[in-house]
Amino acid sequence: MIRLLLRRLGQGVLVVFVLETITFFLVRMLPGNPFLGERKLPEHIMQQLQSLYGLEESAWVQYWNYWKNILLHGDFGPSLIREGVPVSEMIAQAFPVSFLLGVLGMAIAMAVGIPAGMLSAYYRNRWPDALLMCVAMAGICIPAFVVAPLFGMTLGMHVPGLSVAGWDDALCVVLPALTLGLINAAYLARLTRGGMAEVLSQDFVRTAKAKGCRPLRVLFVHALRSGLLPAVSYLGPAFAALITGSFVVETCFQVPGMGLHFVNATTDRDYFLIQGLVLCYGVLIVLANLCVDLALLVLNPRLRSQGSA
Amino acid sequence: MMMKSSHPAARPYARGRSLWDDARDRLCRNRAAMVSLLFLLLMVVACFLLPLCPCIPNPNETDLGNIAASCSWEHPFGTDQLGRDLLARVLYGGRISLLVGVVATGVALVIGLLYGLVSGYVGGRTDALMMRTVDVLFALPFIVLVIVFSLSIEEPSRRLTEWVVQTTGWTRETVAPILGLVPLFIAIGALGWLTLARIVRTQTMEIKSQEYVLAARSLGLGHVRILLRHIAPNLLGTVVVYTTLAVPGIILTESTLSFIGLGVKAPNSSWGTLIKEGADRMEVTPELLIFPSVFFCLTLLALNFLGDGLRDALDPRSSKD
Amino acid sequence: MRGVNVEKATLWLVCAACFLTGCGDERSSAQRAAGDGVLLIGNNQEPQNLDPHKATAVADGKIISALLEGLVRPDARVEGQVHPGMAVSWEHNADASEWVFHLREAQWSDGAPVRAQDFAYAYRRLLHPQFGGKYAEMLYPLKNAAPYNRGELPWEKVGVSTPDDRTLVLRMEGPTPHLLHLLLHFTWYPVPSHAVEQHGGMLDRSSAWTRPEYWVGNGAYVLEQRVFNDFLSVRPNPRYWRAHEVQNRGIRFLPIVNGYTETRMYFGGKLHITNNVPPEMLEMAAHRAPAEFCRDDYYCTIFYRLNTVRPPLDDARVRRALSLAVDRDMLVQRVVRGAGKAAYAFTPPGAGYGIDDSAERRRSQKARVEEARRLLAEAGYPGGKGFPTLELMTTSRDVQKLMAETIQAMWSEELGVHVEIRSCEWSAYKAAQQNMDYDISSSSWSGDYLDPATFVELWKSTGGNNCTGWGSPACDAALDAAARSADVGQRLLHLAEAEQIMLRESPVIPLYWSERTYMKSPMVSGWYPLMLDNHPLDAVRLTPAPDKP
Repeated sequence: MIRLLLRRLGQGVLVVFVLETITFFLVRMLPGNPFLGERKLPEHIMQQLQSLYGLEESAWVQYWNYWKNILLHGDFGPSLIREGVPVSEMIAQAFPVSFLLGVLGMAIAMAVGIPAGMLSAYYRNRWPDALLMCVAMAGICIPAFVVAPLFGMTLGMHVPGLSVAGWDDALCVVLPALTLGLINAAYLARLTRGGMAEVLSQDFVRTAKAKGCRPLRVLFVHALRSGLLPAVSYLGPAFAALITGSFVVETCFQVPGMGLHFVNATTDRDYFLIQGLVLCYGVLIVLANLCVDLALLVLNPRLRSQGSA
Repeated sequence: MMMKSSHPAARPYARGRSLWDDARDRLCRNRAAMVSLLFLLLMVVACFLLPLCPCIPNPNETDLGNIAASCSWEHPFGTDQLGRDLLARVLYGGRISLLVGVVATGVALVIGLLYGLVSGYVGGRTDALMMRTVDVLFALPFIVLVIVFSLSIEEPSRRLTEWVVQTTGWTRETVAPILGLVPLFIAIGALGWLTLARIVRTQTMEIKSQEYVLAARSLGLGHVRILLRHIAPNLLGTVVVYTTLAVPGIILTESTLSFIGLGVKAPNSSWGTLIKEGADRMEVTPELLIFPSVFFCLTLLALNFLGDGLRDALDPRSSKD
Repeated sequence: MRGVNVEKATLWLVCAACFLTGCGDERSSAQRAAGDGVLLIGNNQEPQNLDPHKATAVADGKIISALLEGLVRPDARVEGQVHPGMAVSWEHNADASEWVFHLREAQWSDGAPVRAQDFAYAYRRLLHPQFGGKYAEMLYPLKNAAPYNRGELPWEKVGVSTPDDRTLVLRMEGPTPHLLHLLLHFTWYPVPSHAVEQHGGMLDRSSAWTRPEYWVGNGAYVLEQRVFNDFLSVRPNPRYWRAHEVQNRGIRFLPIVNGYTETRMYFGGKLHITNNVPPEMLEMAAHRAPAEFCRDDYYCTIFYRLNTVRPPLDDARVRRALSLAVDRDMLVQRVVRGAGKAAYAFTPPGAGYGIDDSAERRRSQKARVEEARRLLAEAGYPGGKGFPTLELMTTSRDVQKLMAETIQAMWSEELGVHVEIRSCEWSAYKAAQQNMDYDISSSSWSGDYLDPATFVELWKSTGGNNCTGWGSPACDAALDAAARSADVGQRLLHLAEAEQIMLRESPVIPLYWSERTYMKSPMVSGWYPLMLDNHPLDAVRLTPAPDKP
């Protein structure tokens, strides 16, 4: 187990490295540069700025310098738009916000989505199933940019303590988390139902039923483990995506999280900030997928023997 | 798909009835699936054929004297913020969105399924390499990839349009909206398969360790045969479920991408762009949001029920319940 | 069943929390803040930089104006009227090419005196050839500033001198009767040279002096706290020379990009003043709170640039035809929902300037379209036959897209000319426009200071922001004549002549002069409509609304 973990972490480092490399060259292929303003800069000033940040060098030299600064000085570079502010500081400010929101959202999603999916599978092809799946499909089809303002205008305006948008008191987190949570709950419910339905029609479940197990026991003890597989493999990347922020929810509720930085850094060509954010996201993806794979091993003992073979 | 020997416990059936016949019967007995199928057919007819009828006005004809009008005989759904008939826009938008939904999802499905199958079945180093590649692609900023991609495809796609215009003699206005979608199909298809690949791989690993696959292997069956006959059919459920989940996302992604010049070009519309425009005006003219959303949700709901019905019908085990 | 319990628990928690807060303070954020005397103001976007030599965005300028004060300061009610700021008095020579400013005894927020050398230091820093000041061009009216900025002349040759600590002499490139208006722009503000030197020196672009913990300024406020994408707060500067006249106890700038979110937040009691109400919400906002909805003139033109290098747009007749066929009244009424004025000239009227466009305004759209058709036929495209498909480039902003769709329909209907809309992401749009990689580009221009030159000089053939490829010796000559004339009236006449020449050739299609639409809470007083939107925020007073019974 430990060896597996170490091997996977080693692979993870490689993944992040490759990711950073590709991103580095991709963002420099984008049209425009960070210093383009609404007004055209005189040529000599543009050159001056480029050379100040080493952007006039060839891409390979820049690439080398980028890693050198990270490895030798732990410096992830400055923001090229908010000059003088290190990228690490911007991420350090935004990450806790997105993390809080993501964890809450995921908690809501799992608390609502998985039971709903199980219930739906249990009543498969009867009316509770149809009802639940209609609601879930609605949750999947109605995009966040519709749900978020709707929540803001209904709950935010009328429930005391909640607010339309903004980030100035403790309860501000409720509506964005609810939006993120319910959308993901819909996905989870759908996936759980699918997985459970598959398992419930298998022989061992029928055997259990035939032996007189109570239906709920069958559902929770016998079927749950493998029935959750699709949902669990969805959870990993979804969780990583959630805690690195969602642009739509953050703009609609004015939340100072990572999603805003991600989009703004891209449209402004803030090279170092994009790199930093991708680094952060990559690490989270690797960790989340690692957790998922471990969870899969726990859920399915047969894979364990496979893995060691 | 080949289903005949998909399950080791397949019982002998009455002569002359293939599994396909059974499946069709089961599907026909599923009321929800049949209603959904009918609805989808209707939607396809409405979106692709109805606009040919002269009673539907040009969806791009503006009438600034009659903006955001409410429902009337002349405009059953009212008009939008530039006085264009909303019904016509929803129908024309449906064309684009259905096309994107089918084609882009199809591309993503094929890539994701094959990739996940191979990765999960082969296992070991190959699996590690393939899955780490997915990790990298997953973490790459989508929007950066898409902008770079759209730039590199701009020139070839323009040339393609010119070529089609010259060879077929159709006008640019009819050709461009559809051909303009080709880069989009490639972009979405090329990136939409990642989650599916992960899910398929997990399932494949699970199935691979089941007794009947071991049995098949010990009987000396080739890998390709095992993959196609014993594993792929059992992934059907997951794939159907995931597809119904992915289609709405893909259709909506189109609207996001139209903002960077990829996807449907203004003044043409898609359900995604209509919903997006409607969302901004929801306090003032909720109709602009409600009508496209209802079409969109109903279509996907129907797709969902049909998918479930198909899966139940094709899964021989379910018949015993 | 674990899942269900968690869900229930969460629900209870939420209910309990709602109940508790419900019992507590029922006032909205805006009311609470007004009670504390803190102004909550929507500021469009996260500021890029608070260093006046690195800032370029409008959002930055608003904050900088609260933190630093120039030689003169703006009036709260009348645009263009100036009051003594750091300078007590000033005089200039006969042709207004040499100005002498006498500074008051003022202090930086750390107690150091504000000296004339701080101004000279600031101008030298912005213009320094190694600094890379993006807005260095704003100081080009200073004598020899441009060659110094390009590294061709030493600093000593630039027209800035400080005979003593409290006297600043500015020698200009030519007569500059409108200098006082220029001085209101943040590029002309001083910086605390001692603080800048302490944190890396003049040329250090990553200098930390603008961080809240090190901030030193001479304005009405000092920087308090900054959280990216969340807020930036300032509190009164006790060492400000008019500290007793500052009407509030602080300002919170909220970087709300999305106008819909911002307007909803306003109605949810989260803001005192917003930045922008998007066109679709105008009717709703005006209906729901007519007294709080504001619509002010704004020194800004919305127009289309035409790439005059590419055929068929290299033909002035074609350009004129395209311009004539746009029904501006319809556009303003229906698409912009009245938040603007139809424009038949480029520069918005104001500052004693205005192109006489009454003839054009009186003419019916039908007559205009007829002329457009005739011009197009003369150019060789009768009824739009043979006219190639052009690309109309817009940013991804919703209003721009709607406008493009409308105009696309107008051209197609009236002239038989088809254009395709190309929507670009922001940086790609800027790059394409500045490299002239477009046919028609949806653009806007807002004035930096209250003077028509900020608009008309765009059309100098060598101007960096021209971006149309158009130029005419006659127009350049008129602009030169304007720059040489010391007489205010004469200067404006020359500028008008230059603009008339430009309009006849029509390298642009002026569409409308936009208006600012925003919400202002009844708790706010001391805020008046200003064309440049340069509100002295120290004049804004807050009166908390009485608690609801």
